[in-house]
Amino acid sequence: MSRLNKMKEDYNHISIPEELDDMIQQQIQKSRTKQAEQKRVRLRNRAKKSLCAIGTAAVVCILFAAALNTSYVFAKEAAKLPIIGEFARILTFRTYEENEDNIAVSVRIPTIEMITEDTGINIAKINQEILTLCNQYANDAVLRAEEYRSAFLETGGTLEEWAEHNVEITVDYEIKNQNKDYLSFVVRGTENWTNAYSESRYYNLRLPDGKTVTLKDMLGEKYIENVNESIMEQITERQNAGETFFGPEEGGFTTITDDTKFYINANNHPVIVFEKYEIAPGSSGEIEFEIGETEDTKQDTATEKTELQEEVYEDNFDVDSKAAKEFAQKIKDAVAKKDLEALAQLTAFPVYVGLENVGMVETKEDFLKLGAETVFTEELLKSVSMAEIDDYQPCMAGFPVSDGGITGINFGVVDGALAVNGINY
Amino acid sequence: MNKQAVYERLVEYIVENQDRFYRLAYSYTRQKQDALDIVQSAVCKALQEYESIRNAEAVKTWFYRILVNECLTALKKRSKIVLSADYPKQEAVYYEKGYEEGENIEELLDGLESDVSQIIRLRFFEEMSLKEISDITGLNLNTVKTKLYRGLKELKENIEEEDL
Repeated sequence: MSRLNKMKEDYNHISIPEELDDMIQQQIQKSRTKQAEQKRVRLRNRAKKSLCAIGTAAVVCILFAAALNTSYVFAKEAAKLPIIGEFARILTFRTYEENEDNIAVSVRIPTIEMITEDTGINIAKINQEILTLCNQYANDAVLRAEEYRSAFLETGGTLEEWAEHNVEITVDYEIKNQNKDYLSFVVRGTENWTNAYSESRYYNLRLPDGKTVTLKDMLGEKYIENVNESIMEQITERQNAGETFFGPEEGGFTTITDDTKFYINANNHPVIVFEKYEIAPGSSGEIEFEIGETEDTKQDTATEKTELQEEVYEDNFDVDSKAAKEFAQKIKDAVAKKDLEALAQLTAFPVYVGLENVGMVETKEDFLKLGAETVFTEELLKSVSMAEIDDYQPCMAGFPVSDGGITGINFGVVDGALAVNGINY
Repeated sequence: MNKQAVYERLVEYIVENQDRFYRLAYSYTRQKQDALDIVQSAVCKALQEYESIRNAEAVKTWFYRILVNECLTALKKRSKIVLSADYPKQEAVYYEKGYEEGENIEELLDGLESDVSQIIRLRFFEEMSLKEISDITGLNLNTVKTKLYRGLKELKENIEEEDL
């Protein structure tokens, strides 16, 4: 038998090539990326479901009030937390820790207190939401960890091995920014054994009124376009610097949405956040993009922006309904204000103007000479203001801004960009 | 059973035991690149198919079934390797040389039928129970026993022949 022992020793001394570990990690990374994609689909479905859960909010509300009044933890915590600006403060009103079956649970639920009066309702609603969210996450996470535990034991793991795992569930918050203008913080739920269920919710409140701030509030109507452009640029820069991002076909960045996560940093700039695996390999972790341009700086460049019109369209079929809507909105705005200059900015010359004795107008100067009173007839004002612009379909003939009658303003692709190409009366 | 839990359990099992996988694969192929390829495709398949891990079944035997399968497939592809079971006497000569160079295990094992050598690998090198081996190979427990004893006897014969 000593021969066999010798064989075993030789076997155990087979040297392990360095590449092995890298290769295994790569395989896992690849498979996790795939999982992350499945998760995104799952989350989308969950979002729909969670709408059904709103009915429980009332119950939570009562619990919330009771906890706030009776918890001595709350009183203890409140004393040491900072006042934010002079208007609000965050206090942890509930913390608890548990350790059962070697699953450690640690929860700190933040609540916001507004120092200024009269804004209570808004804040109470947010506080409730945070509380519900945290509790629900912690409960779900414990269930998942229990399932993991039984799976672990059923597949041959021992209790000792399980204990070594140090499974931890953490619900916590991080204050991203607090100044006199904004309060921005994130509430996170994490499980240290899996990324698949990590959740983070960002809260951005404007002070002193405590209103929730959206990207649109900060960046204006064209925020999606502007943010996308900025992110694309930053991705290219960072790629050149050696970072890896997923391409579009691997589920990488395409566009932000209304649900895109962001916080507000110390410069009062929004910072867009993508979760681990969302647009890049997991090794990159969470990815952030600061969007430098805010409402103030944007106003100065707004007119330039219109003239630059970065998208280049082949023809009217290239224009999606969102772009068409945005352009139509600009026309509506100009007409509502009877701003001939603004309308001229949107117009490609020569343009057809269907007034008596006018017809083709060759230049912008000639157009302006017509005068606002002549161009903006009562009928045109009415038709444009009534125009339905939400659902444009790509069409060779272009896009009308009108109430359905002949009177109205037409626009379409002229030299690669959207422009007004006709006004009918 | 929670799918995500099973998945994490599998990932962890793979990371912890990757060296073992490699050694086993290497003992079949005796080539670094081939052994790496085998482990890679076994890991890839396992991560893809993790949902088929059943409740009562240990991750270990489930994974080894895939791994052993990959090893055998790789061997079949390398048709140039003649299974030495057909030429036991010649192998004994090779084995002796190999042993002196400190690389005897592969040749000794190659002196056996492939499923016999596989059982010996799993039993003695991977220290698996007969039950686990039976689960992995799909052979029933008694067959595993019989083959193991036959293998041991053959090894001993080899050794004795050589000692003569």
